[in-house]
Amino acid sequence: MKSTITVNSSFYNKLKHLDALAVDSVKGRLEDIARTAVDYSPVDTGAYVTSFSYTIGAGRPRGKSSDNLPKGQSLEGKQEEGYGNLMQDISRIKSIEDLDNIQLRNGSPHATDVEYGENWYGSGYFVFAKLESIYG
Amino acid sequence: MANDIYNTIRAALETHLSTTLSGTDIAYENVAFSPTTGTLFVKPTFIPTVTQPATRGLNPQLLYQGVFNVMVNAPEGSGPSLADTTCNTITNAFAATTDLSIVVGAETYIVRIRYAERQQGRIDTPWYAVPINIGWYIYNT
Repeated sequence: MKSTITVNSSFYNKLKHLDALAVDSVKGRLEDIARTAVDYSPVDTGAYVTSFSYTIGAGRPRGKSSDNLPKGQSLEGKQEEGYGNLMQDISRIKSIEDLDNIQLRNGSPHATDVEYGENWYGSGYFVFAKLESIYG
Repeated sequence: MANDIYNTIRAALETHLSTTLSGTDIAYENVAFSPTTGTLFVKPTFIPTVTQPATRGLNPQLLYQGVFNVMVNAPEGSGPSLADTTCNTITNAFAATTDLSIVVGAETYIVRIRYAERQQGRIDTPWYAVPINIGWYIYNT
């Protein structure tokens, strides 16, 4: 026994449209998170704020050391550079399959010190903790 | 009350921490503290994040939220168990959906715990430091 069902091609078009809506919605959310992440980030050499990555597919996450870099860099300039990096990552999202596993990372060697402080008496910036509180 | 709400939230969280860790040294923010080498202590940090309207309309109720970070500092080289035990005590006491009530004047405030998340430990000589992030929120006018 066999039956054949024909699916109208407009059904597939509607599914594609839904996929596009989902991708756009997630990209919007990722842009918000990117903006918040760089706004909460401190800037001295700029190594930390320009070391954020969204890991999407293959590719090596960014990770800059602050060693030997000039201090006192422009806060806005470096934050915009960091935001631009993340927007570049987001632009690589093309289809719903790309949304399977996206992580925000900071690969700078001093990322933990920035988060929690360098010593027990120092205070960190808690960038990822704040992001989790707002978007988690 | 909005201007004082953060004092109330901090009091609820710190009181619950001190009750939970009775007898443990606590290095409160902006209070002089000298750790004793070889003795575990914890350092809480109160981190409010965004406040946003919880409802539509004029004079809406507000959602206050943030993080209460507790850094557990155990003596370096003493193994993980001392820090583990203290971390477990804290995460159990601040488990998700725990309500912390505090009375200020005639009003009772409820600070609710959204999550308690232990992070990876690291060496911060002479300490082995393990961070715990506790997410909290409260609705208030």
